[in-house]
Parts: sequence; structure tokens; C-alpha cells
Amino acid sequence: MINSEIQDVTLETAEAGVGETPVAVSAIVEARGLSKRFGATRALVDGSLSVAPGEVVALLGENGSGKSTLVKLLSGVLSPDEGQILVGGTVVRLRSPRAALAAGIVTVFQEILAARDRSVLDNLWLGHGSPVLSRPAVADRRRLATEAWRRLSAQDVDLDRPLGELTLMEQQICVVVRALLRDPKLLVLDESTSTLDVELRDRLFDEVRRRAADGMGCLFISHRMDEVMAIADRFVALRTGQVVGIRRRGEVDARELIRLISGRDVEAGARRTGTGRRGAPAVRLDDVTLRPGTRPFTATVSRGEIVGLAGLEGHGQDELIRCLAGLHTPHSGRVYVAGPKGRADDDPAAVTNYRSGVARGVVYVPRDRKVEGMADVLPIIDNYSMPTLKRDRFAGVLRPRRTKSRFQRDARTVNLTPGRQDSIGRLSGGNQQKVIIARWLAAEPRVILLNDPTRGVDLKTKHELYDVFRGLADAGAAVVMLSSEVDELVHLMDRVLVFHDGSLSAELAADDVTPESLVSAYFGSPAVVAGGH
Amino acid sequence: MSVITAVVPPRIRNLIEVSPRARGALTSGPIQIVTVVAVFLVGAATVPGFAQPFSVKAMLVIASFLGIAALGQTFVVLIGGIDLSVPALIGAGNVIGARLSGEGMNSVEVIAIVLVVGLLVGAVNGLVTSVWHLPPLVVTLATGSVVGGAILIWTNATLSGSAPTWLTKFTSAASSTGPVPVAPVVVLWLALAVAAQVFIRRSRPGRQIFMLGANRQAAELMLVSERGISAVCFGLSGALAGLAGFLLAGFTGAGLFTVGDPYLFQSIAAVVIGGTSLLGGRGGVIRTVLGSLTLVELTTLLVGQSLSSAAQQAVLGAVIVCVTALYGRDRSVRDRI
Amino acid sequence: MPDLAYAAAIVRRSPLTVVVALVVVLLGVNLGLSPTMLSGHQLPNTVNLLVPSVLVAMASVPAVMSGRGGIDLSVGPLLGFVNVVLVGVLVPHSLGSVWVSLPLLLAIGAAIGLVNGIAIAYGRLQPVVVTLGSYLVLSGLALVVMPQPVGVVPHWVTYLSGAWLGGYLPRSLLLVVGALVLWRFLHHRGAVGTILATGSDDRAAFTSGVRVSRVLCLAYASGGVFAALAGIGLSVLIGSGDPTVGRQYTLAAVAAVALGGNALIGGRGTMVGPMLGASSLFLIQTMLSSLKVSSLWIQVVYGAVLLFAVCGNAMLATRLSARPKAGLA
Repeated sequence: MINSEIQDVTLETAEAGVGETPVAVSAIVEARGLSKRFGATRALVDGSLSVAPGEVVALLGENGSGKSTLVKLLSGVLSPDEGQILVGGTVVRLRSPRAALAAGIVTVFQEILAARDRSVLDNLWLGHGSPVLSRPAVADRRRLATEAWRRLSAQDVDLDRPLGELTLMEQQICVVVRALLRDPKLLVLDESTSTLDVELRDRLFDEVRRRAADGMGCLFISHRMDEVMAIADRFVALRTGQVVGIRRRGEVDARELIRLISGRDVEAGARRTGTGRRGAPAVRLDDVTLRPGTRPFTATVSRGEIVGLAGLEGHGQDELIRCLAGLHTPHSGRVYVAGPKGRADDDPAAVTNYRSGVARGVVYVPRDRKVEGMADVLPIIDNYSMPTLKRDRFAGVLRPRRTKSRFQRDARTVNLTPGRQDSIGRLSGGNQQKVIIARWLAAEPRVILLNDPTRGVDLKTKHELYDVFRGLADAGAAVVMLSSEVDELVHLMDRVLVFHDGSLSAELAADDVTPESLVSAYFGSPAVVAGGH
Repeated sequence: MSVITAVVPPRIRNLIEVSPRARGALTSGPIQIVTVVAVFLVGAATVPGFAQPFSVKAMLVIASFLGIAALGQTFVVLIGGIDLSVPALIGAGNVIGARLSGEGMNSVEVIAIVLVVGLLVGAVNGLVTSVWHLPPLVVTLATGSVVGGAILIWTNATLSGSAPTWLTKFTSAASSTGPVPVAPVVVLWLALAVAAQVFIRRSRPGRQIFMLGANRQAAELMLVSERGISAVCFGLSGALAGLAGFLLAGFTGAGLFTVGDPYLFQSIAAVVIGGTSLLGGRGGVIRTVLGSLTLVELTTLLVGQSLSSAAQQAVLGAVIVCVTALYGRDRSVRDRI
Repeated sequence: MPDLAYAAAIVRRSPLTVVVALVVVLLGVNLGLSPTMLSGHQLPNTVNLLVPSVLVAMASVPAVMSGRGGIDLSVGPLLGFVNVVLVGVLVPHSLGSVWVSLPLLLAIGAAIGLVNGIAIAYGRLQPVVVTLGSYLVLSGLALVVMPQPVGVVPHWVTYLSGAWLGGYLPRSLLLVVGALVLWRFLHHRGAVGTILATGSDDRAAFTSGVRVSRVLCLAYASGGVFAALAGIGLSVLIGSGDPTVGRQYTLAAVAAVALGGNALIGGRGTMVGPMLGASSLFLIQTMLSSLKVSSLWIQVVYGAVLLFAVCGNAMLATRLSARPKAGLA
């Protein structure tokens, strides 16, 4: 309660956009006017934030809004171009994660960063002390590790097993426990709940609250509104690298927060409807189960429509889209994608493997651009033309002029402007995605599989991409798009298939897709969906 | 660039250079050209006779043996690998060439056999590394050891065979190629380099090499066959190493199994000095031509400074590290989070 | 039966399986061929031959463990350089006493390893390039210091070539023991774990507060110390200075590491494996010579064994690394 006054002060100044923030004496960590740019991109502009002891602050924003940059600055991975970070009222320079850890700022990163070849115990105590000057007290470490683990998880773990042999969830627990063992003053949780189940998440929240009662601060980042609403005392919203609003618990509801984050007023009514014409089914799933013991389901996707795949992270939608691409095999059942005439016939040829799929016009835009989607040291033109180079051959020799004219045509379709010899790594995420999509336009696709294609893409480009997708569907392609963004599901899709526990849990027609119906379907309650409409 | 413009007829030049990417490879690598010229000027200024036509011709001949082997190594490095079987295959090419020629076999057949042996050993390297995802360093070390050992057994570790007479002339610094006053082997080297350049710029597998080297996983999704391209690259490396060994027989006169030994690190150094990244995906074959020239110039220069071969080696080692520091740095761990 | 299955699982999981089997078989064959190999009469010679190979294999282990393409090609020339410095520089300047020369040589090894490490960690250069560079520099320097094989080793080195207990305890083993003590020390202090963690995922190590660059330097420097011990082992073996013999140890060291089941991508591996790997390469050699096989065959057999061992390890490892798929949590 004592804090509220200070919070108000910070709140007002930040809202007013004044640079000179009065010193919040009791703030554990305060960021003042942090800016960071990468080349031409301004990742974070004048980012200010403070966390008081015992306070849980939620950092909200879409992908690319600057959240992860702010986290990297606070954790010492990056240094700010401008601005200061204060710990306990004194300005500190966090040159490395080690310095940040020493200052009491402990971060659990979005990606599970762990040494998979090393034992759980080694991972839990990674980075403690000096490797030569101090000697680890192994017995103590074991005891403390077991205690800390039990606070979070009901199931014990073999501390000597290599971490890589654990399930993803256990690995996630491990990196959280590693952070807690550091006794943080400020705990930064960057999307650290995405692989945890509800029970574990609640235990984590209890632990955070318990520690907050002892004076720890927490900066919490999550895309799930229900989590944010459950744990945060204060909300800081970022959009395109700037703090756009700070609200206190009780002041706002989830809807307003979403508006704040997305700046939706601008986008209101941006719904994209197609011609409504449907062709023959191009994708058919017959009694498919994705994992052992899950409910079988059946679905079709016709040419001319855009179908969304949605669900909480790890509930089966990713496996499904990879099955359609021929990169994953379903546990049982049959998958037909674009048979000989582009229809989902009962033709065994329609059961796809990746290469034959591409030959039949089934194209896949992977989720992780950097890892699967492109080679960032190569020029745009190579990243564009690689799978379709055969078309540019004359007597076995490539004709660059043909590639160039193809590229110009497809680049126009996706509204891509940069020169073709630029290295793709220098482009913004949105433009990179445009190159990848243009690449597959060249393959004359019949079925387009998009695995979360707008992750880390800025708003303007996102809408350009939506137009491209809609155009493709209108031209007769079947578009299947996995999305983790509620907005996109609501505004773009003709239908949404929601997954829960490895199976299809709800199928929503365009008119039934609302943020509320989606969220309740995410949690596996289709009944609510029907009632909610 | 000007060198190439001067030597190559316009139509072929068009074929190599019409792609702006190819032009980019040259213009983005002016350091390499400057290095070749600078080292030459330093040599001409400090070593008597360095710039004499005969010593230039001799350097070109020496560079062509290295250059042909390094050309092959370039393909492997472009896909992020390394080929340690090069010296063994040079030795094999040398010994097989001299022995079979000594037994009176037709040179065309001899060359065909040498190329096929190199190609096969290389293809095995490529397949073993890509199928089991084994480190090329160890695999090529092992196959190199097997091939080298086999040659030892075959020749009983003695000098054997003899080079055909035409080959001696082919590789002699004093001979000329028609009106061009350099040894035919030099012309062959440059022709191979041009062919390699056309291959990597203007063929589908050529472009796929870069994609595979830059990002293996993405390449697979862009329909690049890891096994196929690995086999091609290692195969080319083996075949070119074998060819370099065969040509060296003209220089050594007879088959000598150890003739390839210096080329283990020299072929890698030529690639690295040329500016092809050992991380894969970045570089090119013309750069390796320049790298080979630089390396031979440097060695000659150091000899001319009356440095012992030992001191030359030491200086060379330092130079390789410094040159890579100019353009071969890794990404920092901070940028990978 | 379940016990058997458990044992089978253990065997399959251990990266040492292939190399231990190899050593056991080779040792058996060797003893069958020449039962006197381990007698007090022959043992010191056998061990003296073996010691430099084992130490140089140990020298390349930390670099490989440290990941990101870590490798130290300069260990061979470094061992030769240490031998040359001892015989060609220290002895003539009457610095050959054990109290002066031993620390000096170890410091030289550590310093050269450190330079490699700095170029790799802070210069962010590829380990292959850096250590190839120092390979050439060191082999060149060795020849500059000592153009031909000459000289005598100091007294303490000669002493190490003998044995205690009637030949059953060769004194050159002290060098290996010294290296193992250093490694155990680093292990106890957690340094080995940190090197392995860095090799497994340097981003995880970095964000957990590990000073990754220093760890890399430590890895290469400790490798340098082992290489210096190997150089002393070489001096024990040849009893004089030889500037050219060192470099041939490099590739054997790489082979020993791969044979020993250490992943060349780093993050995983043992010290014992490469030591056994080096021993098995040595045993192949002695076996072939007892069999009166022409020494020309050695290279072929080396290569073939290496190839099979690496493929075997790879197949075991692929079974092991079946990690839980994303999304199954």
C-alpha cells in the first residue's frame, strides 16, 4: 500500500512522456528512457519502467513491440544506446548477464536456454561462483535444488539425468528453478509459462506471490490474458517500441488491455472477407489422431477458404500443420492433401511427403524464420528462387534474367520493395516473411500452409500479408494458417479449428469467432462457445 | 575485375559476369585483389628477379597445382565442411598417374582413372558425413588415411613410374600455350576456375551449395538434397585433388606418395585467404584463385627474403590468422539470444 | 532378464562402449601375440612410446569440449616446440634443472594455449583457422630454434625414462599422473562442468552468468599445459631434440578424441575416452608389428578403425539423442 503513491508518480510521468522521472526511492529496478536500435529498426524508444518490492508488473505487447529488447537490456545481454537502469536507486551498467545477476536481476528467457548435455543439477547451478577459484559444495547444492524443485513440481526429478532427456515441461521447470535458486530481487519471466500446464502454472504463481510477499519484484511477460490478469498488480503496454500506457490492477479489464496493446481503434472493422466461393476440398483429415490416446477427428479445407488453426501452445495445432506439410506423421488416421487434380481424393499419392507435396503445389511457410525459413547471409534473390530454380534453366544453365523477372512479378504481389541483391538478414521480419511467401508463390501453390506467419511482423506489413493470403484464397488456393494471435483469427479466417489436448476441440465459423469464444475454446470448453455467442 | 576483363573474351565474360551476384563477389572482395597486387609489388621491390617474366611464370605454375586442389577444397568449405583427404588424393593421383603412364597406358585413360578414383573417394566422404551427420574433419581424416596407406602399400613406399613426356612440357614454366606465354597447366587452372565459377553461379546445384552451407535446415525445406550436394562437393574436391596430383607428376617426374603432404594446410589456407568462410555459405571460387596466388607469392617473397622454410611457415601461419580476422569473424553470443 | 536389459542400456548409453571394447580386444590380441609385452623388461619402453600419444590426445580434449567447432590443431607442433625449447634453449643456457625448466615449459604451453583461446573467444575467429595458424607458426619456430635433430635432454628427463619396481612402474607415467591431477582439480572446482556446459549451449551458459570467453581461454590454456607435458614425454622418449616429429601427433590426437567417443560438436565427452582412444591406436600399431605385417599397412588400418568407430559412435548417439518432441509436455 505504501508503494501505491510512488506508483502513481511513476505512472503519471510516464503517461505524460516526461523524460525526467522523479527517483522512485523504493523501486527495486527502474529503467529510464531506454532506447535501442538495430540498424534502421528502432526496437525500443524511450522505454521507462519501474518495479517496486513485492510488486508483479506485467509487460504487455505484441510481437516486435520491444518487450524482448527491454528484457535483454535488463538482463545485460544487450546494452542500451540511451537511457539508464537503476537498481535500488543507483545507476548501474549491466555489461553482461553476469553483472545483471549480481545486481539481483534474474531472467528466465522465452527460449529454454539450457545445456542439454549436462545434468539437471549442473544446469540448476550453472554460472554460480568461479570455475577455478571456488569449489562447489555439491551436497548443499543437491539439497537446495531438491527443495526448490519441490516447491514448484509435485514430481521429483533425477538430478543426475541429462537435461535433454527430460520433457519440455520439465526443462522449463528447470530454468525457472535455476532462476529462483539465485534469490532474485527482480525476477523476469519472459513467456516462461507457455509450456507449463495449468497446475504447474498455478504453483509457479503461488511461489511468485510468496516471494513477492518477502519483497521480490517480478516482471511478467505472457501472451495469455488470463495469466496476466491473475498475477499482475500493474500493466505496462508497449507498442512498436514505445510505452503506450500503464494501468493498475482493477483499473482495466482484459478487453481494454488488448485495445491498449494492439491500438485496435485504428484497425476496427478491418475484417477481410473473401468472395465466399468454395472449390473442391483440397485437404481432408480422416479419423486422425496426433498422439497416442487422443480423440480422433475429421476435417476438410476447401479451395478458396482460409482456415485458422488455433490453441494454446503445444496442443496439437503445430503437429497438424506439419503433418499436412509432410514433415510429421500422425499417430493414426489418414491425411489427404492435394491429390493429382488438386483435390483431396482417396488417392494414396495424396498422403504427402514434403518433396512430393511441393511438386503437387503444397507449400509450407515454417514457424521459425531464422532456423527453417531462410539463410540470412544469402541475398534475397537466392532465398526467393531456391526451390523453383528449375524454371530458370535453359539447356541446363540458369538464366538470371528469368529469375529476375519472376522475382519482380512475385515481389509486386507481396508488395516487397528492397533490391534483390540485399542480404535477407538485413530486412525487417515482415519483409523477410514476404520473401518467403513470394518464394512459394512461384511454385503455383494449391494448398498453402502458414505456420504462424505474422510472428514478429509489424502491424502494417501484417495487414499487407493478410491481403496477400486473401488474394491467394480468392484465386482458388486452400489456405491453412496457424496463428497464435486472437486478432488475426477473428479478422482473417473463414473458419477456425481450435485444438486442445492434441485434438480438435472446436470448429468455429467466421461469425462465431470472437476473442471470448476463442479463449474459452482454448481451454477446451466448446459448450461455453455455443452459449457465449 | 580488370584482370578478368582483359583476359576473358566478351561472350564468356558476359556468362560469368552478367549476374550482378558474380560482380558482387568480385567487387565485395577487393581486398583479395589488392592483396595479390600489393604482395607482388612488395616482392618486386625487395626481391631481385621477383618480377622477371620467368619467375612470374614459375610462380603461376606452382600456383596452378595449389589452385586446382584448392578449387576443390572451396566446394567443400562452401557447404561448411573441410576436406583433409586432399593430400592423400593428390598422392594417389600422382602415383596412379605415373605408374600407369610408366606402364604405357594412354594418358586419356590415365586421367579418367585418376578422376574417377578421386570422385569416388570424395563421394564416399560426402555420403558418410551427410547420412550419419559426422564431422567431415574426422571422416576425411580417416578416408585420407586409408587412401594414403593403400598407395603406400601399392608402391611399397618407393618412387615409382614415370610421367609422360607431354606432361613434363605441360607443366614446365618455360613452355607456353600457343600464343599465351604461360605453361598450359596455368591455362588449364584458369579454365577450370572459370568453369567452376559458371557452375556455382549458373547451375541449380551450384546455387544449392550456398544454401546448404548457409542453413542446412532451411535448405532441406527448399528442396536442396543434403546428401546429393555433399556428394557433389566432396566428389569434386576428390577429383580435383587427384587431377592436381597427376599434374604434379610432370613436375616430380615420377610418382611420389608424399607429394601431397604440403597441400593439407595449403589448400585450406588458400581458401581462407581468398575469403571463403569456413562457416559455409559465403565465398566463391574466384576468391580461391586469388587466395592461391597470394599464398604462392607470399611463399616466394619469404624465400626471397632469404628466410628459411621454417621461418616462412611461421610467418605464413600468422598471416592466415590475420587475414581471416579481416572477414571471417563469428557472431557474438549476445547476438544469438 | 531385466538386469540384462538394464546392463545393455548402460552399455548403449555410454560413449565409452566402443573404445573400451576396442582396447580390451586389442590388448588381448597383443598379449596373445607377444606375452612379454607387459614384462618388467619391456614395459618401460612400451609406456614411454605410449605416453606422448596419450598426453597429446588429452591436450585436444578441452578444446573439443568447449564447442562451436572447437578444435586444437596446434597440439602436435606445440609438443615438438616444447621438446625443442627444452633441448635447444634451456639446456644450453644451463636452465635444464627440473625446478626451472618444468615450470617454464608448462607456462609456455599454457601461454600458447591462451593465445589460441584469446583469438577464438575475443577475436571470434574459427578455431580451425586459429590453431592452423599456430600449427604453422609453432612448427616453423621449432625449426628456427633447432634446424636439425640434436642435443641431449637434462638429467631429470632421462630419469623419467626409467622405471621403479623392477620395470613394472615406468616413471614416465608421472607425466600422465600430473595431467590427470590437473584435470581432476579442474573437475572438482567445476571448471570441466562449465567448459562442457559452454560447449553444450554457450547461450545458456552466457545468460546464466558464465564468463564464456574466459572459459574458452581456460579450455585452450589447459590443453596447452597437457601438450607441454606431452612435449616432455616426447623428450623422455627420444632423449634429444627433434623439430619435426611433433606435428605428426596432431592428426593422431584428433583421431583419438573421435575414437574415444567424444562428440566433436562439444558439450559431451570424457577424458578417459580419448586416452583409451590413443591407447588403442598404439595397440593397433604394436599388434601389426607383432604380426610382422608390413608397417605400410598401419595407415590403412588406422583409417579404417577410425571410420568404423566414428560411425559406430554416431549410430549409438542417434539412438540416445531421441529427445522429447516439442509440444508433448
